[in-house]
Amino acid sequence: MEAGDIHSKSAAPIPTDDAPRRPVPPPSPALKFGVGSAVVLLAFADLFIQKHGSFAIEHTPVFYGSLAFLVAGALIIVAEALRHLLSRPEDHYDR
Amino acid sequence: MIGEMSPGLILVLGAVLVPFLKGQARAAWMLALPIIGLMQLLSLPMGDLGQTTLAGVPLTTMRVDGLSWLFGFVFLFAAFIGILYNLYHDDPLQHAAGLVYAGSAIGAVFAGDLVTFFLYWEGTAIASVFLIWASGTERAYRAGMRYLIIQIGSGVILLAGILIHHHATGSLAFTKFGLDAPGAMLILLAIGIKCAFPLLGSWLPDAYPQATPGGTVLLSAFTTKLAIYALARAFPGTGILIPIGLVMAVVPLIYAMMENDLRRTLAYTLNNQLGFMVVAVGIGTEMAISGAAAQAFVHVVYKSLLFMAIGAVLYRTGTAEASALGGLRATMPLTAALCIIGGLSIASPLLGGFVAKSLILSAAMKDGYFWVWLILLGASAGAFVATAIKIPYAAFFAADSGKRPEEAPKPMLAAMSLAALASLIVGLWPSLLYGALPFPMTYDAYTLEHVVTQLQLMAFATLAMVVMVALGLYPFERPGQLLGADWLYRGLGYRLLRWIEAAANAAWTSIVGGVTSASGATVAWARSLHGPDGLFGRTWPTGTMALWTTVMLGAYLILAFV
Repeated sequence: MEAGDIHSKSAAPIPTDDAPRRPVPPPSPALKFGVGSAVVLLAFADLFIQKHGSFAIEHTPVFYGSLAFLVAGALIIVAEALRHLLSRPEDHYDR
Repeated sequence: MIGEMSPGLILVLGAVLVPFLKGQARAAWMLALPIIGLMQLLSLPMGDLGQTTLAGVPLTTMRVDGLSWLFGFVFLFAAFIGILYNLYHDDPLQHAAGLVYAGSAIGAVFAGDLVTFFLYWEGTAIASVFLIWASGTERAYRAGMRYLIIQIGSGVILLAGILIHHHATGSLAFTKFGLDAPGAMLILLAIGIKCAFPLLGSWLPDAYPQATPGGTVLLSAFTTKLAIYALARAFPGTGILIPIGLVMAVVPLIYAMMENDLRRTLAYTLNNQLGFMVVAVGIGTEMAISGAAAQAFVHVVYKSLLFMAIGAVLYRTGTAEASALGGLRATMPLTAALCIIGGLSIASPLLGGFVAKSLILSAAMKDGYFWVWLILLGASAGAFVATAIKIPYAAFFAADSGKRPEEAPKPMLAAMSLAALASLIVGLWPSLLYGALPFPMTYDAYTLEHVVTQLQLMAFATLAMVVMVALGLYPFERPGQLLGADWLYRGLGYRLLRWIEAAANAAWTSIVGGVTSASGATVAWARSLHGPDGLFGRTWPTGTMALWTTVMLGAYLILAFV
């Protein structure tokens, strides 16, 4: 790389998101049923167990489940949004 | 047995023979070394052993106490499964480097003084880079160079801290320092680099995915957990570690979800799990330190397992990219099952992570750290998504890639099975782990409340994933380079350097140009005076001289009469 490159290097990032991905099969009915029933069962069980934690929020019904659902959903949405901002071609630093 | 020699030194010295052995003899020798090391560890009493002097400096080469015993034990186990896994190839350099690397990490854990610790600390840096370079690609070479510079840099900073500390206190003992102890900030910085603190840890996702499939397995076990050990040894209860650890527990998770390379995804989730340990060290109570040690223990086991499974995929298919994989469960069912066990080990009851992480969360709760507890709880749900779901899903399920690779080679399967078994044993009989902690405790992880809430965490996180897939919002990973903190030196720093280079070039050119033209002008002026046609260079006619002599004599005559 010549010293002059820093002037000629294009500043605008080249997005890499547009390569199509192979289509993903939708979740199977068995998976939906399994996860669905596990969720319902555990939410139901939550109402009957005695909680000993010292933080009040922990005693909210289905606190752990709600937190996990929100965090997991938010994580995926935030990651997808940020990926558009932060992704560069694989040889970004090599050019 | 073998005096009071450090088990780490057994591995380091044993590596010398590796190039001279072949085939099964070499395999047997290498596998025997961690077993001999373990026997050595089991035969030694607690206390400061292996005392010697080097150039008049007293050294404690083998300190056995609760903390070092647990880390030493799990490092020996990781060395054994790592060596077993690596038997798929026949490269003596990688085998020897792996042994020296593992041995150095074990030696550092048992080091009772800062000099011994420093020597082994540098040993891990130098030996491990060969596992990256062994890939043989240009990219691996460059990543290895960056890794080496940063790792050696950490060593140099550590040495500076040690020297300042020794100069001020006269002590070389490797014990708890306060942050205000002389040199302590430098020592913390050195450990922080290896521990992948925020902004200091870009080397981790940069270098680990460039190593060979087996090299990454070894790398994932030792360097960062050695740093956690050093942190727990030297800086327990240092409050600043809590926010540092929280940032580590959260930010790399987002990168893990964005990342396409599954080994790099694992490197990010490794960083996330280190955050839990750093927070625990920062809390610093007996329960928290034990939690950090327990978490390090199970993390070595299940993270190795995950790196081994993805390493097997890479070895068989030539890629570890999520966008190029999928559907491999058809022909790699055993690897798929073991990978799922590794992923579930992060949280699931009956497996290792469940019994360890709850110690850290309980420690945070017990001391009333509400936000710390809440953030770590959220981060553990996120880590479950990024590790337990994303990794197996992307490689073995998702969209069928059409790849039908062979099942993993036997040594890989054997190593993975051992790791899965270890996670299961810890999960089923947690008292084995709790009894071996730095502060042994009886803790009941299997209360109904804990099991139900943890299963809830897992089930609802999975539900969110299923909903996202059904909505077509996931998976979205594509090949690419994610900008991270390493942009500071690979992007901005590089450009800055090139700019300085260009500026220096321009300055040099103008200085040289100026001097050249100035001297050229001087020469031209001298030439104009003294050259063939110059004023002083001309041959003057005799008549002119006679005329001027007459003028001078005339002037003299006039002056004489005045």
